Amino acid sequence: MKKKILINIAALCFAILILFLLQKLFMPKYISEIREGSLIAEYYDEVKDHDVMFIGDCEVYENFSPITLWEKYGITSYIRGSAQQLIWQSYYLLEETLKYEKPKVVVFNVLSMKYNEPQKEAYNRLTLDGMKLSKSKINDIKTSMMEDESFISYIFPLIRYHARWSKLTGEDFKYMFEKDKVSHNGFLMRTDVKPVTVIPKGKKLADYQFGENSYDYLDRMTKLCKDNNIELILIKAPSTYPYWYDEWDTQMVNYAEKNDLTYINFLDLLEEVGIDFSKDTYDGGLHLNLYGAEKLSEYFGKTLSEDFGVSDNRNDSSTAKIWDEKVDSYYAMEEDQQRELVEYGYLKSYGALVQITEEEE
Amino acid sequence: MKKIILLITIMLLLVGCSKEAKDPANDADQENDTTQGSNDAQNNDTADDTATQDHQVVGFSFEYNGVKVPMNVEAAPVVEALGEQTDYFEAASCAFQGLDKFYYYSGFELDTYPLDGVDYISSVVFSDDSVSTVEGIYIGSTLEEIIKAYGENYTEESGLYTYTLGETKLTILVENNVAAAITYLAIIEGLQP
Amino acid sequence: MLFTSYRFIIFLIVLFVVYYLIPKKFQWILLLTASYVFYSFAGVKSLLYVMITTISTYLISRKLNRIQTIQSDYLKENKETFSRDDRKAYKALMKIKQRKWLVFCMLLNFGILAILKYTDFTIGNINSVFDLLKVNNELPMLGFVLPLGISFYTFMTMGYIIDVYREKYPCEKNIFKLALFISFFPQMIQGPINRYDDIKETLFAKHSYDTRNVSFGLQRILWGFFKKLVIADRLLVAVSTIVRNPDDFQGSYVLVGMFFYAIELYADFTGGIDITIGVAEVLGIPLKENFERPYFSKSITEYWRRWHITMGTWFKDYLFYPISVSKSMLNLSKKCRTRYGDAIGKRVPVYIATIIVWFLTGLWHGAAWNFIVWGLGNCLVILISQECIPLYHKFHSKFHVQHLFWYRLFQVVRTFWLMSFLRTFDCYRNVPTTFKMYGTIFTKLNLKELFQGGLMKLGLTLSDYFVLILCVTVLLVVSLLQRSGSVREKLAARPVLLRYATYFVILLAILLLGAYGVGYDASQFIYSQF
Repeated sequence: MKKKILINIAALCFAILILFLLQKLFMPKYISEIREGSLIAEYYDEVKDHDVMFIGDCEVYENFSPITLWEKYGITSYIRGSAQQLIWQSYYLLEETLKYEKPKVVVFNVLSMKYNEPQKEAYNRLTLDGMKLSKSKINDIKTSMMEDESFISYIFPLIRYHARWSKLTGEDFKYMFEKDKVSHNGFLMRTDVKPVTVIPKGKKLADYQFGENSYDYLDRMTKLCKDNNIELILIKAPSTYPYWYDEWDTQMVNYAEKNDLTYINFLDLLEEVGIDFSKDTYDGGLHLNLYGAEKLSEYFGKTLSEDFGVSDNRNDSSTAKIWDEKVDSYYAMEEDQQRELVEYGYLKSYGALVQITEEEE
Repeated sequence: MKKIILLITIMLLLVGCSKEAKDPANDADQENDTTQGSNDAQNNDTADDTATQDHQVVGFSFEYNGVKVPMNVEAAPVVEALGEQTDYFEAASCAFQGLDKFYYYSGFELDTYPLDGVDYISSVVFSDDSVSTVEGIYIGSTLEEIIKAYGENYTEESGLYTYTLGETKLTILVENNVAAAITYLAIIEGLQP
Repeated sequence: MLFTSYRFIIFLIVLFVVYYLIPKKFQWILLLTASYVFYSFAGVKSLLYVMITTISTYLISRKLNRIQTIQSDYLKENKETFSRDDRKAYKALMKIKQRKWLVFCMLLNFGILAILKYTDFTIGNINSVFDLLKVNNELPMLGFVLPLGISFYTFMTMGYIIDVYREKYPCEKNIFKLALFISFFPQMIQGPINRYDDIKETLFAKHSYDTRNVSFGLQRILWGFFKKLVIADRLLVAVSTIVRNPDDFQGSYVLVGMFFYAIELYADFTGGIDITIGVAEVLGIPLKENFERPYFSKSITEYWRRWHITMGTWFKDYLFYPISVSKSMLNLSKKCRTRYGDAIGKRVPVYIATIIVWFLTGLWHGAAWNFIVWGLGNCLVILISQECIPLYHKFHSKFHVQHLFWYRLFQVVRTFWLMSFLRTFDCYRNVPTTFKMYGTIFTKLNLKELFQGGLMKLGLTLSDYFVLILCVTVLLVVSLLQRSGSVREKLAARPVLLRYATYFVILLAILLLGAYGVGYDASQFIYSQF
């Protein structure tokens, strides 16, 4: 009888182990493709001591370089950004982050105000799968879930990714337990260049008012920061698309005024920042590349340090040690990317697809 | 002998039954929608599909210089037929989940979305009053003219009048009683209108 | 609640645990509660219909029982004084009384079923007649929503009341026990259609935890999920593609569709029944089998003894026999005998009963002409094969092939394709289209196209086909093994490591290879709207 129970327990443990390993195997690794998927999870291994936290969508993780902020101003920062991060996802990420550390400033890109409802399952996955299980994550899942999604598939992602059995590659095995870092404190580097040729004009909308849900979460974010003595800065990154309507801008200006917050629309400051849309973007104006991001960071770092008093930590030896390593790997990646551009014409290992040059069109 | 006659008679009767069952079967198209006791999971759409079987696009379509621009069809042949664009823009979304393309022409913009590696037309947006719909509505047409052309079967919200036909929509934003924006849209699941 | 939903799995786990923890005398009450909870997920309004059926059947069955008791008491009392004729007359009188109640009950309950299920079908037909006569009127459709399992539980309940009428067994005196019999949740989605006397011993009994029952039951549930998620749901993608685009997929594609549909329907239906019977088995309640490897049948009559068995036996016991031995039928037969001779005379009741049964079988499957045509098609084939029996005898006495393996294989394959052809009415659900597709099999010769990429256009990838071939082979092997006895018994005799490994492999197959989740269409069991 005892033997039977022991065998059953052993079998159960073995089964759980196999399922655990399978889950690790089947999760997409986001190394050679869609590197954005790796972003959220990379935060947890960090030494969590940042004065500035960025949250938001690709307009934060492509447009700001924490390394530049460090090098020029000694500012320690992290970008908890992810692809098409929705405002409630930003809120819950912030809520979770505050359990690990208390930054002085939080910077939020307001583009996501335009999305009042969940949008795409794929983007939900890119943001949520990387989060560690927590109350914030559970609330986040419930708010983000689309109709055809199931809660249990977020707790046991094997259920979501089981169909990958026919698409597994060497990468899935290689990175089962440990992954290389793809970002630099949340910044996804792109050194390629694709100049702006067309700035699409915004189509007329029937209703420019941001949704109730969006405002609700913006309020929550404002309160969360106020309750924790954190300075919340609302920004609009300088991208040419999606179109940022004047009517939207006005709403943000009004909101910031009403709630005693700072709102910076970088689209109005292109000259001051020195953005050159023929050199500083890698996808025709949607996102800045490394050079654009460094320019923007240099400009914004000044604001942070002078207007918001974010301290210069370069004299702190332990912090400096950590950041020196980051700086090294940053320039190493820049070099590697430049090499790939020369060798292949595009960033082959960095998730870029072969770009069609204008002559070929 | 008698047996054989009877057998044939019965067979004919039975076959006859089947044939009779065939004729009023056109209503099977309607029934299929409300049939709950179906033997299959492929429930609702069979009827619709048999109605629009010939891949004729049932819906609004735009016309420019004699080129028909229906919604949700393959973009490549249409783009080729329309000739040279004044501008072209590729809208990569975050994480490169699909590349939307905007083709700019004189008076309108053609947008496409990718599906399984092929671009399909998702919308046509009028950019000025130099183009009009097949029914003669353009930016500046009055609300009266719009309703005259398309009827009363619309939904309206905040001044945006939406007409639906098949798997397409025609949305007209009316400001100060005139059309301020006109857009053709394909109704695609998961796509932002 | 779908069988293949997370909610159902959690429901089951909770039920199983509570079932074996509570005092045994409450177990059937728990089942009743669970069944009603299960049913309310399908719509609380629908519960009303179940309750109407339950209450009406209960009251009337008690009435019948009372009349029968009165009758037997009265007869006993007057044993001496009554002559044989008196007794007969009295019994006849009582029978008429009972019949009135029986008919009322059947009209009520079959009426509910008929109205909910067939009103729009009738309206549609009337409207087409209007169209034909160029009448400008059109009746609006009423769009009734069918309560879950109404076809199944109505048949079960009516079978019960007919049995009580026939004095097969006394009625159930406890309305809640009757309610459980009618609404027992595993059978609500696709049957089997149980008989009261088969199930009453175990349904209300006290059940102690029995490792064998639980283990075998869980294995059966696992096997059902495997068939449903890995095979049926995967094939559904291809079948849907073919069937929804009859213009694009003709000729050989129609055959492919038939073949795939045959396997898909089998995997889906038997998978669902496996889950049903497995769940009941875990609860200690054996249910009747509904399938017996039907695709190994050698003739259509054999097929219908092995496919959807409980439906076949229900129609046989409660429709076919009553009709063929009814007074009016016997009279008709006599008349025909005198007018047309013996051969026809003795066929008349059988033929008429058969046609009626198959017409209703078809109609039961769906309120559409294609189902009726399907039913009558089966009927036609059965009657023809009956008539051809003397021909077969002649053939077999000349050529002694009956015992040969190849001949038996031929019979199996022939029956398989015959049934697949008939089932096509199910696929396109439109009679003219189905005939058109039959035609293209002979007119459009595009077999080559299939193997030059055609098979890849159906929504399945190469790895999908690989999985299908592997899993259908496993299915086939298990079916072949079953012929010589229960596979679970055979497995139970093997070492524990092998057993656990088998379970785990099947579980993994379901988890990893199942056609579920985002990206796959959530599909219901095919028979769930009956």
